[in-house]
Amino acid sequence: MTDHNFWGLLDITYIYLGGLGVGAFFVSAMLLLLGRNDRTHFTVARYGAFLAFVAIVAGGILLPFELEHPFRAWRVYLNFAHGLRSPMFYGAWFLVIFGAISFFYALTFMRRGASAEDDLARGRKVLAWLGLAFGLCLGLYYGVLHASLAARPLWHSPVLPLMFLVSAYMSGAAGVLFLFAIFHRKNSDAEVEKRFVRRGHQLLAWILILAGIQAVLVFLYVLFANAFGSGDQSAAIQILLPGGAFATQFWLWAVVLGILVPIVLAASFGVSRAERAPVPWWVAVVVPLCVLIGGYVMRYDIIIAGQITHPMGL
Amino acid sequence: MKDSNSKPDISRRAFLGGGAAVTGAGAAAALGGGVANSAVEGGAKKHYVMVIDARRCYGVQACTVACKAEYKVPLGENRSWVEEIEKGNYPNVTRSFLPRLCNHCDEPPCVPVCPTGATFKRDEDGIVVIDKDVCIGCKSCIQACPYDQRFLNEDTHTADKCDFCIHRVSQGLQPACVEACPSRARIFGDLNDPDSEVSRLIATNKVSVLRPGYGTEPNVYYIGADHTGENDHYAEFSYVDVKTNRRFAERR
Repeated sequence: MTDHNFWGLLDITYIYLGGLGVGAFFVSAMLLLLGRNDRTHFTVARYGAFLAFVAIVAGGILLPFELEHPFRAWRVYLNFAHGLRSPMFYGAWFLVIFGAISFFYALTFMRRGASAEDDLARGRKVLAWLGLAFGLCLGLYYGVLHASLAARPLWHSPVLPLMFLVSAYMSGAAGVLFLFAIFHRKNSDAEVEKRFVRRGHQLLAWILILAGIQAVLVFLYVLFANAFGSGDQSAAIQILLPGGAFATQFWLWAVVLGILVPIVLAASFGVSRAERAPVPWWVAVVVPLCVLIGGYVMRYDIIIAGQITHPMGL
Repeated sequence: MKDSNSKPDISRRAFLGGGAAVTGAGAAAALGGGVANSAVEGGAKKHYVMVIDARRCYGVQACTVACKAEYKVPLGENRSWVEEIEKGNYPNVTRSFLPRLCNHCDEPPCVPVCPTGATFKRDEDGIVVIDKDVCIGCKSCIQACPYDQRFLNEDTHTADKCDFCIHRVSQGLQPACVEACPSRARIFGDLNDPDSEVSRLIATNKVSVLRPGYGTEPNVYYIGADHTGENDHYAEFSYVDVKTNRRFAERR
């Protein structure tokens, strides 16, 4: 089985970390832009800014190890003559641009005394908008890279880029919520603390919405391949359906643990108690862990199973 | 001056100014002493194709061995191989063979995905090649080929596959597999030449290509090929066994 895995754990981890970076930036930028000049928005946005940069750098460090000739990678960036049809050409540029944006964005939070109303506020917001745009491109690229390959019927689905993107945003929200749960200390000012509590519920609500969207996308992905796809696609998707080699881990880990458990917990402890009590500590830890593990397993299953399955007949 | 015995430079730059390698091929063929390939004589644009008459193939694997020897292909990999198909229920049984190699498609899916332009289709003869000095080993092209013809060469750490023996063809010789085949099941030539054997065979026989539904427009044509797949026993309710003779046990 492993004979076919030209793209293995390194690729999966790189794509996962890239997605986590894109998602963390998305959450950070949305909090910053929606929160106007609120201090609690700014504080939580800072977690996202740091997580985005760390994740994208970690993923970027892994990438050269996946290439057989990493010192020739510069050729990708200069290949304007022939690279315009290659998803990887765009992906390489998106990664560098988004990496640079996330670096400068994180830098604006690092300054001593940085606040929502400091003299960098305007530049920070410009970077937030740019990072949202390039993060969207990079988040979609990870799926497009696979979905563009007709020779891999399990990947060749228009739903896949959206699944990877939504999973990236979910992971980002989960990562920020996790950091918030670990590092946030109760504020002495009751009014400020009340707003911090709302931020926790806000993150949980975003995870709930994104997980709901992801559940629909998984359903559409399976439906399109199984019912409406080509013979090759419907043959390939059997590997994820009951009886298939990857069925148990896909449905149990990626769908139940990664999507359904967060939906149930977020609906139970997030939305319904939004104004009453803080998100319980264990929920703010368990939900992110479920999302992060589920997101990794989802990518693992699809990328590995996509290389095991192949066109049928000759 | 370029040594006529040296391997041709397969960089894009060499192609742009590289007509000389082709025009000198006729003379090189005489020196080479092999079967001259009339298709490469003259400066006209070529359209190299291979016709495989599967009725003539009896699975001796001479082509597989010749290819391995020609390129020192790493252990466990093949640029070309012969698959065996056994099917039917006694007494209606058949055993046939299907030689496989890169199809040098007119619409090769491996080319656009390459982020560096290392893999490309040559304008002058349609051969899909890999520039090993440019390939970064990202494996995109390996994933993009619907025939799984590409592999990662563990010696060069680049993508690898059949190149129609470009170093032989450019000197007027036949590809190694064609020359080694004892039953003349493989015929190589220029489809743009209406008098070539491949043109005649394609015009006078019912030919097929592999996985035409992928729109790749392959340039390897089969006569009398058995396209039965390993899963077709479900449909035919009869015994089907496909032996790939390749690292991958299942047919890809």
